[in-house]
Amino acid sequence: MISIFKRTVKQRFSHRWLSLVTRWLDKRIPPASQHRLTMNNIFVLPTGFGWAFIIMSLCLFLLGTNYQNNLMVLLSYILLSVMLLTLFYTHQNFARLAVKSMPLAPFHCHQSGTFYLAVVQQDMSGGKDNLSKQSRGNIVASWFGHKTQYPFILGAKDNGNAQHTTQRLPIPITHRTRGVYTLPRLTLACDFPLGLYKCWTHLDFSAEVVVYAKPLKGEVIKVSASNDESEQNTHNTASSAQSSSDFHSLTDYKEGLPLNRVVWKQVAKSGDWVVKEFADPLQLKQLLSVDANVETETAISLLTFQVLEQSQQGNHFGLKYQSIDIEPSSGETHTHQCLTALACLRNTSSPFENNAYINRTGNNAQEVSHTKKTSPAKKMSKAARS
Amino acid sequence: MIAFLKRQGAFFNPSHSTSRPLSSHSLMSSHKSTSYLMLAIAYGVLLFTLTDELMAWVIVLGMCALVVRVLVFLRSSQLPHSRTINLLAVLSLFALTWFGFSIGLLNSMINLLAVAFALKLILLDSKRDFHLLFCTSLFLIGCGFISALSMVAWVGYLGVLIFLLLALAYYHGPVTPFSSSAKFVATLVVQAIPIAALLFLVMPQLPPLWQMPTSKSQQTGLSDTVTPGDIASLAKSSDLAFTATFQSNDDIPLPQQRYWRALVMEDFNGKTWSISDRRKQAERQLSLLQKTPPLTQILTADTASTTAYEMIVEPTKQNWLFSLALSEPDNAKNTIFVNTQFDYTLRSSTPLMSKKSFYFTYVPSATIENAAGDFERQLNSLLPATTNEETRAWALALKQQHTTPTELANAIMNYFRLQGFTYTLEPNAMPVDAIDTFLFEEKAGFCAHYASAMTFALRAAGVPARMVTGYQGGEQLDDNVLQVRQYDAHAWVEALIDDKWQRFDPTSMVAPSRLSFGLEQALADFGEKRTSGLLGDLSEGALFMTLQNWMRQMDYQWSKWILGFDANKQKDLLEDLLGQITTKKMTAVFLSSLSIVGVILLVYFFPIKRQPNLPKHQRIYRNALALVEKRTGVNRHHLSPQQYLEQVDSYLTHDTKASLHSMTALFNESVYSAESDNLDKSHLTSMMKKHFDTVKKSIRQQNA
Repeated sequence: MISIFKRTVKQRFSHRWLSLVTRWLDKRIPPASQHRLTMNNIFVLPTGFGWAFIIMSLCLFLLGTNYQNNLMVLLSYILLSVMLLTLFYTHQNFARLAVKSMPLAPFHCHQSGTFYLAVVQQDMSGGKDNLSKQSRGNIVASWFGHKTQYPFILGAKDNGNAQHTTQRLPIPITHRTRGVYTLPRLTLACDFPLGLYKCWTHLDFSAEVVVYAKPLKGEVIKVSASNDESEQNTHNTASSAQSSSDFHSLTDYKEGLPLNRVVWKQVAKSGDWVVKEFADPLQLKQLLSVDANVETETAISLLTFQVLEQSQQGNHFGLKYQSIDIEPSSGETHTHQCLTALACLRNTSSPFENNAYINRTGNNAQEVSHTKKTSPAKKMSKAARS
Repeated sequence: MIAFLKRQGAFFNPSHSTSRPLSSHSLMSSHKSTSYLMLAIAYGVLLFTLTDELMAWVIVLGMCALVVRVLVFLRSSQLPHSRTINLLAVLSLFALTWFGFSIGLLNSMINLLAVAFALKLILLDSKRDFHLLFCTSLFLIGCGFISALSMVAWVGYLGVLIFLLLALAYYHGPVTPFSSSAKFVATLVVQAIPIAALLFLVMPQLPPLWQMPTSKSQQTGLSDTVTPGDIASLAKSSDLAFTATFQSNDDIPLPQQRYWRALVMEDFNGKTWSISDRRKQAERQLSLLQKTPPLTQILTADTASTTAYEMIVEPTKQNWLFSLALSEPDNAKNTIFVNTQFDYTLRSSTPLMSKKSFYFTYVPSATIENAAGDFERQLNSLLPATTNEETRAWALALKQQHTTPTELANAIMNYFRLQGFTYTLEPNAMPVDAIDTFLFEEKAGFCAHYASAMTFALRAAGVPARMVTGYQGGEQLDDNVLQVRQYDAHAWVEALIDDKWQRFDPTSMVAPSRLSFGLEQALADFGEKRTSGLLGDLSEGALFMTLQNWMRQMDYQWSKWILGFDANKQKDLLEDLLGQITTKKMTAVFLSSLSIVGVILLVYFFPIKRQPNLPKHQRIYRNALALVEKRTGVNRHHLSPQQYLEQVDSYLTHDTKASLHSMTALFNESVYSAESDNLDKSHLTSMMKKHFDTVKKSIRQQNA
């Protein structure tokens, strides 16, 4: 009983603390699509090893004092000076970077998306040996408030191209629920050159990501948009395009197409092999929908699958489900519009919520775990659900 | 090495993609395993420098760990099972506890550290362990300084430190080539040294905070017992015993007077002279009664002809100290308190574990009083029963002939002088009745034989006498610096005559050059050499001598300024620089040294951007343009010279314009003309300079 109480207090406290930190960070490092790492947005503190190094130097100082041994004292001073200088070197190395967020592609909530971060070496020296003045070392990326870390190597030579100064870091991102989210702050950390200090920053790229619903194969209602409501037809999803239909357009001949579709007049006139394209007007304009007594989430998943399917076949389709009413059309933008509408439909969390939860769960088979610490992340996801 | 280069090559194989999330662990592991190997090598080197402290089996264990690391590196073979290592750890723990009692606390700690390091090194496979071992090796370096204090040792350990830092940098720079890691670490250490030196100068030198365990290692220098029959082992050693620094050349006493008194041997068991137990007891009692030892009062007796000097004493791991006979310790300056005893000898409050500076005041005219009355007289008249009968008879006979003790003593000295005694470091063994054999048969020996025989004879004749050991002589290193080496160890006699202890040196009767020119000369007089062998001949070469002298000078400066740098020297140095030290001044010193560190950091990390290295005439042209820009307020940006000239034309006076035009013409000619290489550079420069002066002058006039 007490332990539960304790836990809630702890949770509340940590939640409050987190919100305080977030607010402070918003003031300190305002959101932007690209950041230059400068004195203002870098934090530096000794790592655990750094503290051990300091303690060791102090121990040597004490030992030297007690034995009245100046050489030991001198050694401890040298170690402390190295510590001091490394502070500057660590900062200098990290502050050479500029980072920029790349447009983030939408992904489904059962998959993991990839956030591409472009890392550019700020040319500070201006001289010819800017290669040696590049940032180096391991850079560790993680989403703010999440334990999973994604390490990268900075300044690795790209295909032998020495002048390459921009690097693209693919940072995996996953989300369990559909919707539109603002990305959380991205934490970048680096401990080059000696691992004595950790330089880090929390950057907000003010990037939004659309998380589509998980597709589910199943039956949906396809309503012909031109016809009236009564003429409802239930189709199997696997139904293929039919040949008996209206003339639609002319396209180039490709091998394997039936020869009876070739426009021989055109061939005789200009020598170009052109075929007639037919389209089914019935199928062209159909509205996808799901029976009202199917559970909403399942319905959305079914529709998502169908939209993807139709889009792949290049069909014209529209959406009509609950509040969504999208006129039939085709193309990538249309597909995206449909999927986004589905993703945002009656979402439990508001679409433009600032604090998005990036969860990592065990059932995501595609995800490659880079660290062993998945369990704390799991706990967090549970906390987020409750 | 070739394998190493190969690994490097493989690492930069262009087939590796840049920004792949670290799935390629093989890529990282090359750098890691190299760093692990470097750490292991550093450990191996450290083991060999710590041979004094470490037990043989620990070194063997460490070497095994190193071999395992090398095998893992070369063949990337499997690490041993951790169960094996645990078993080894248990065994080592047993061995450590078993031997721990015999080697003392400090050495057991160092051994424990080395064993733990070796075992962890075998299993080393993570970042955490790597960091742990790095810190441990830093501590091992520190332990190395307990016994190794020379400049060579310092440079060597600094090398090990740099190597360790290199391993660390290499570990943390996953794609950094080895050369640039090396460059970085070298820069880092070179930059760190000035800051460390500054800290060393201004940070307060603290006294020991608490008593530390000392190692039970070999005591060096004089021993507290003297058996004349033993081979003079000290004479073989040319190690430094101490260095004495006087204020000026005139203050250095004559060679014959350089008696460095250390120990008083009052107990003789027929074979061996030693410090009397009764004396030790008496000293304890007297100090409990809080009596003032007489040595502390010699200064008040005479202040005219005293000499202050500083001694840098090599570590002896013992308590006793030596000083010019007689000197009073200046305990206000000494970091280790020096106690004086009633036999006028000195004891430091802690054993000398490292080189230490001591300050003394030499009072040449002081005499050694009989400080403890009848106690000393009785103690120094005792003789072991029924030994050396012949000597006893001889002494009694002498007593009959000579009435005063002084005459008696002189008679014994004369006996040595006249009876054909020789000085040798390799006398024959005298197992039975050593003094009889020496006086009447062998008639050959070194200082301990003579002192022992004379003390015995004096006691037999009823004159209280004792043997004193210490050093005699010293080589002049500098105008005001004397160096005394172990082979300068000496023994002489003190006899109680008229309630004063008077010094007699029987060796001087046999080998007068021993006092004036040192042991080597004395031995040479008798056709002997102190050391034999190849190096002995070599050491006489002029080049070798110069080199040796140079090394000694270096070592002296090192001892004086680095090892012997204490609160006292720090104060002196600051007073030399700033005059009288006040609290205000000390605050200023600390603040200014902080700001110096700040400036050093500024210089390191924000270097002033140097102007590109242009030819001189171009620089003059640029300066002229800068003047014009300042005057007109029109910035040139990236206009061509001609365009800019047209823009500012209206703002300028005639003189300026004319000069500027010709300067521009000259500039264009020098930069863009086809024969720009053939131009006379110096002529060009002088022309530019002339025009520049005109521009400057006219603009100044305009401003005015």
